[in-house]
Parts: sequence; C-alpha cells; structure tokens
Amino acid sequence: MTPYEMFFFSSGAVESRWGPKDLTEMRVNVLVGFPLGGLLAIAIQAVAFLVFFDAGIQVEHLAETVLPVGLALGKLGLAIALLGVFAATFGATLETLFSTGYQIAQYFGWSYGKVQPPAQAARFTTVVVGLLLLSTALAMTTLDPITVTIFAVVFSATVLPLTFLPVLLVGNDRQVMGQLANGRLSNTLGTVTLAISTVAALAALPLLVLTRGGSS
Amino acid sequence: MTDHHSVRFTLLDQQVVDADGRRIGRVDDLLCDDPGPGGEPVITHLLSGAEALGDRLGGLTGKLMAAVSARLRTTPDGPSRIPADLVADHADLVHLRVRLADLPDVAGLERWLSAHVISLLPGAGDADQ
Repeated sequence: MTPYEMFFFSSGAVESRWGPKDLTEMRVNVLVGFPLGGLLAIAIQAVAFLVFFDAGIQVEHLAETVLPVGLALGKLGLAIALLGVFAATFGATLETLFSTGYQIAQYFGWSYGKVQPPAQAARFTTVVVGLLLLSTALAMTTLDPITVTIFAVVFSATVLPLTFLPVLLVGNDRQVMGQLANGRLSNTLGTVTLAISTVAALAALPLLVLTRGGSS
Repeated sequence: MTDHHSVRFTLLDQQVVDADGRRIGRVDDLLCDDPGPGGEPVITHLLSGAEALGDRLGGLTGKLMAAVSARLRTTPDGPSRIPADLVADHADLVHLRVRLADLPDVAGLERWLSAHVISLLPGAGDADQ
C-alpha cells in the first residue's frame, strides 16, 4: 500500500460516484487484488533467488527480472512476461500521474478527472501532461532507476500514516458514513495498521541513511 | 448568508461549485463589510485562487504563490472575487447560482490553459462518459 494508491482509488471513487451498492465490487477488488499482488511479488522474488543467487548475478535492470520466466517457460512464456511488464509499468505510470494530478487539483479545488472533457479540467490536465514530460526527461538522464525506486519507496513510507489517518477519521464520521461508519473490528484493524505504518515511517529515513541507501 | 456559524468550519477552504456542478476552486479567503462599532461584519465576497490563498498562508511559500498568481492575473484589482449573494447554498459544497462563464474574473488560469494549451491537444473535447 502506497500513498498514491490511496489518492488514486479514493478520487476514482468520488469521480465515478460510488455509493453503498458498489461496496461489494470494492471488497472483491481488495480481497482478490491484494493477496494476488502479494503472491506475485513473493513468486518473483522466489524465482529470482533461485536463478540469480547461485549464478552470482546482480540484478541491475528491469529487463533481467524476466530471465527466470524465459528459462522455465521458453519463448512463449517470455513473451507473456514482457507483455505483463509492459502492462504493469504503463498502468503504474498512468496511476501515479493521475494520482499526483488529483492531489494538486483537490488541494486548490480545481475540476479534475475524466468525467468531463480535458478542456474543462484544463489545470488538472496541464499538471498531468507537465508531469509526464518531466518524468520522461528524468528517466532519460543516466540516473539509476533502482536508486530512484529506493528513495521513492522510503518517502512513500514516510508519508503513509499522514495519508491513512484522514481515511480512518472519515470512516468514523457518522455524518459522512451514516450506517456504514467503522465498527470496533474495523477501527481495531485500522489503528493497528496506523501504528505499524507510523513505526515504518519513523524508521524509514534513519534506515535509508544508516544503510547508505540500501547498499550495505 | 445570515447564519452565525464559524466561517472557519462552514465556509473557508470549502469547495466552490458553479450552477453546472463544475468545480471552480475553493473559498480561499473572505471579504467582509465592517459596519463600525456595535454592528456585525457582513461577508460581501468570497475570494478564490492562489493569490488569495497565498496571502492567507503567508510565509515564503505563500508569498511566492501570491506573487506568481498576481503576476499572471490580467485584471488590475486584487485576487479574484465572487459576490456573496451569488451563493445559493453552502451546506456541504458552496453552490453558486451562476455558471463559471458568467464570472469572467474567476479561474483565469483555467480559461487560459484551456484556450491556449489543452484545446490544442487531440481529444481535448472528449469526455469519458
């Protein structure tokens, strides 16, 4: 869970006017999506360890991560894996761009999103287009993508409790949530999550410095 | 707007929506008429936009935001303002009686970007739904 996902999904929910009847769809998304994502992440790490550790290969590029799939499943498997890499990175690019656009637009109260033509959400669209150009320029420098990823993850961990707390508070606001306000179980789980993410947030920056950006 | 709620909770920073339901900005500051000793101040205008917000926030960030926004403004007289009598309802969002097109001084950056940048892109007039 990263802050951008929180902004992306909550803004999407506002934009497509989710109501109580959409709860089932949302629960299926979370209960199927998150375990599946976790399983895939563990699977990638496991096959990467099996292939790369004995061979003494240091992974330095995204392209190298599909090597285990190629070894196990041949050309067709490699093609499917490459398609998956493309879908994942393309989707994540759009998600993060829109998420940042949503945050800036909502802070200033601008119209945002895809329900109206881009010309009627000009400030939002300009922010998204500007960020796309800026991040493409950043990617075209010789900056090491793995270093960028490490810093990005550390800073997301730092701000996560600040993003999560308002959601927990709104979940308890009976004026907003009515009958669906958080019960005891949700609040206990929410508070535990908040506590864990706060510890992670406080530890993230010192750990980044102490381990010299994860290199030792 | 004759109620006596604290404007900090009911008005300031609230989302402003025009008669079509289009989000046009937030209530970044308020202009009041001071009737003198004994009288109660009356809100005359809502101020919206980065110039009013920057002035209100203060500090280096606020000054910078207000200065850039003021430099981009084409009208001579201060942050863009919305007459308070155009507010239809402010129970949840601040709903205006008029459309954004009827408020030429509000959301100048939105208009400029729409006309000069975004409308030049392919698909600028297409909506999703």
